[in-house]
Amino acid sequence: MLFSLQANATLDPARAAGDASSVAADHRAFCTHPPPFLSPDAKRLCDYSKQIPNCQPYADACDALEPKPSSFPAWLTSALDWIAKTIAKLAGLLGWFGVWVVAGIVLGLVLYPLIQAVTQSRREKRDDADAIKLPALPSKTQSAFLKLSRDEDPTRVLEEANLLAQQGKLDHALYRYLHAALLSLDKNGAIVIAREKTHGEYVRACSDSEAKPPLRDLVREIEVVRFGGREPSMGGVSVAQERATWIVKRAMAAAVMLTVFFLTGCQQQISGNDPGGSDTLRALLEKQNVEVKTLFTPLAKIPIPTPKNRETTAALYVDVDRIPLEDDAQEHLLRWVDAGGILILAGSPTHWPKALGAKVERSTSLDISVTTYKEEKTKKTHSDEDEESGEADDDDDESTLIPRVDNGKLAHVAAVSWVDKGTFVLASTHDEKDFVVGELRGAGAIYAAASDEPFTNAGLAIPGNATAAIAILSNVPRQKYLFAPVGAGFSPPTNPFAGLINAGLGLPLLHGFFATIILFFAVGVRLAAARPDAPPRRRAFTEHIYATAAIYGRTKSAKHALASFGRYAENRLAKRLGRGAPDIVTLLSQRSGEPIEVCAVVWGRALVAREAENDPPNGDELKILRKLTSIYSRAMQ
Amino acid sequence: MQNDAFANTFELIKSGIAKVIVGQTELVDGVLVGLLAQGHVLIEGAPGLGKTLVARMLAAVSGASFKRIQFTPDLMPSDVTGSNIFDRQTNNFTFIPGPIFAQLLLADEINRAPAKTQSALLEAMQDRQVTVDGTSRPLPQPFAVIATQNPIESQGTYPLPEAQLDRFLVKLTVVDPPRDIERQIVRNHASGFDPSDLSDIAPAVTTETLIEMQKHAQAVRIDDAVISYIVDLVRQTRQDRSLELGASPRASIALLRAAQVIAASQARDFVTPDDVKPMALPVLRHRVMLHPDAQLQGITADERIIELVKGVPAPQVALS
Repeated sequence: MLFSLQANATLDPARAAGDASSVAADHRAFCTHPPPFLSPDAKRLCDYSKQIPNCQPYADACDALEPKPSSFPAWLTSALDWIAKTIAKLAGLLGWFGVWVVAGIVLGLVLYPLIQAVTQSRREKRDDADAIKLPALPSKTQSAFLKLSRDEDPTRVLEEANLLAQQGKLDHALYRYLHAALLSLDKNGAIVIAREKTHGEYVRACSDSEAKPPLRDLVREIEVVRFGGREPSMGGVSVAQERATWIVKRAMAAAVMLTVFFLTGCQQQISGNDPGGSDTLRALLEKQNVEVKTLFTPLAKIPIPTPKNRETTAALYVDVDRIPLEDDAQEHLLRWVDAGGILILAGSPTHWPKALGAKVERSTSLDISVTTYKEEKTKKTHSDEDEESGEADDDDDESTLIPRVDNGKLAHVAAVSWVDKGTFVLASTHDEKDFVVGELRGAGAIYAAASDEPFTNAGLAIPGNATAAIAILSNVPRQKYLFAPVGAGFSPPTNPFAGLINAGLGLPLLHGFFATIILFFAVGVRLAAARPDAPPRRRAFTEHIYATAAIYGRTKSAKHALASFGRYAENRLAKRLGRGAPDIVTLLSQRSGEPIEVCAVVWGRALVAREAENDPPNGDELKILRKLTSIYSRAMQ
Repeated sequence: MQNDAFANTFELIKSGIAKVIVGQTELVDGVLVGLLAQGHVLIEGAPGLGKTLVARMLAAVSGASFKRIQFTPDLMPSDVTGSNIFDRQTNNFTFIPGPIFAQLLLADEINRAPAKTQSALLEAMQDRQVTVDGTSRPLPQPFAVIATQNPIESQGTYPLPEAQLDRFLVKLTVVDPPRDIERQIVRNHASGFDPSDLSDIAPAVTTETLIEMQKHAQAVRIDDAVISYIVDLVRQTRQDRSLELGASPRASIALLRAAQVIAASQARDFVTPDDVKPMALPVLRHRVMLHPDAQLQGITADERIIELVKGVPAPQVALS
């Protein structure tokens, strides 16, 4: 019974019942406002609902879960069940089919624009290379102090503006005030800073209606100086300062509110409305002067205690029924205990770390007993002393272990079989099965309960359970507790793929990967297919030429097509030839980038086709025509 | 004239027109800007959208003399400019002025007249004078042509040549009114409104005031950065591959004048880029010619200009 000594002097089971009643008012939301849809934990604890005083709404919610007795005959009920199951199966099959169809459509929707973009970029690659660059704006608008980076901090820019105003650089100060205001609005999402936007457009586009008037005032002050040619005045600068400061502060306040909103969750959480939560336990521990905090790191990453800090490391409470432990989390927790950590597990032994070797034990009793011992010193009488030792002693105090038994109530039977070298029992069921077992392990210890029920909000609302829970925890030699939140048992992914695989998306990821490979090759094959030398710029006209040429080709008049196109090209090129311009062949070569010899041959064939139209064709007129249209279209771009 | 006086008078004319014209705010603004910038206005829109009524209302409210020419295929240049008629009593030729001798001329369905007659307007629009039989005669001041054309019908029309189009300061397109506005129009007619009788409309200003406003707008200050912005915008149209023909330097001047009026109408004596940007479309849309490929792809001049404007950095204090 050495380890059943009350190790934590702060926790006092004797006053636990009173403390539990005092914290109950703030943590009985699960009774008064149970969730509209009970969670599995809440359903599991429904058996407590009738035993908790003044908890009718929760009891009603639990009753609503009970299946209603059917008023139909048995054969009809079974027939309806069969029909319902068949429909559900069919719906499931249809659902699967639908999922695959939707997946295919989504994949197509994603890939189609990608393929289009690839083909478009190839088609327009040359255009981009030839794109004419815009002349730069005059230097006045690009002077250093006018430039603004979206990465700047609005607060810093505001301070800089104040400094500039103090130094008398009023125009610069004005510009920086506007920068600060625009930056803060941009970061807040009220506007989007862009090169082509005017100040007026920022004002009109500002989605923050309250920031609009001060921004308008600010812009007006600045435009009078910037475009109106006026000298900046102290009055104008003070107006700009006031407006910019207001905007920046408002944006900062909005950002803080947004952060708080996301941190606290979008919906308002009612404290203690989850019957399976641990709000009451935390409040009860705090009431007993124990420091309670939430663990913010995953269990697989919790820092290993060192010999120096192991005594001050907080005990870790993990409700394993709510927080599933992954293998690496289990291994890390045991290493953490070996190094000096104190681990409290609450929940079914099947959820404990496998390495502990604990098993579920059959039990028939819902009652548990926790026995604790308190050491008390009593004065010995001299007669007694003399009788026992026969010699005189100045130290006449004696230590006495005073046992105390506290009883608790479970909602479901639970017990554990965990026999190891260092294990010891802290609580048992009334049919003599172990309920809470501890083990000294390395430099630390594990305290594990076969069920989390006595520690839950609902469980602690049962008379006697608070005392039992505090009695169990009074064995834990720590004054500080860390509570692991739901989800802490999952390890953070080491890479994005691991994250997807952990989320159960491994197979879809594999499918997606293979689909991408197939599509990649499909697009690649399509793009690599033989195509004309150069994509014609004026496609509509070129297609017309091709079509005309094809008709001529079918009528054995390809030579006539070549001659016609040559005549057309000559007319258009002649308009481009100014005074002192080169001849057509040189022009074609220079503008299209084709070697002059090729241009000379192609153009020569076009001339020959015109001059000797009645001669028999060579047979390669269509090929020459295609080459000529390609050269011509590039030359005319 | 003070800045506030200009802005107040501008609003006075607008509100005077708004008594009869329901909706069509952009059209009224555009016509007024064209008049005060000493330019001419081309209005394109389907029949029955109030193009002619806007012009008549502007004349009625501004107190300017008003003439209307219905352009037809058989309209002769002399029908527009006037001609010398032999006077048998004096044995001399006497000049009978044509309808162009008005302060506000409505050239209705201008694209129905042949090029020869359309060209009769060229000298009047550019030099504000008319030459007949070698004698030049100045037109009354202020002088503005408001021409209308119908974009739907192409049979029997003569598209305006580029040189003629370039003379118009702005081209405004009229769209169908929203349902509520249309209901209001119909309700007005149901309660007895007669668009053919505007005799009850009293002039809100005098022509002298209009001339004074024109001079005031011309004196509005424009910063070098804004001038650069205007030039960049217009030059961009010449460098765009979708446009066969870009806007001329006359477009830059037109954009400047229009922006000056916009600035003055807001009681400012300086132009900001915000005054320039919204006027880019009406000033440039009729001065550019789309490349045939772009036409085949269904791209419109308006779409190209909107894209081009987006691509030109505005002079601002904050550059990203």
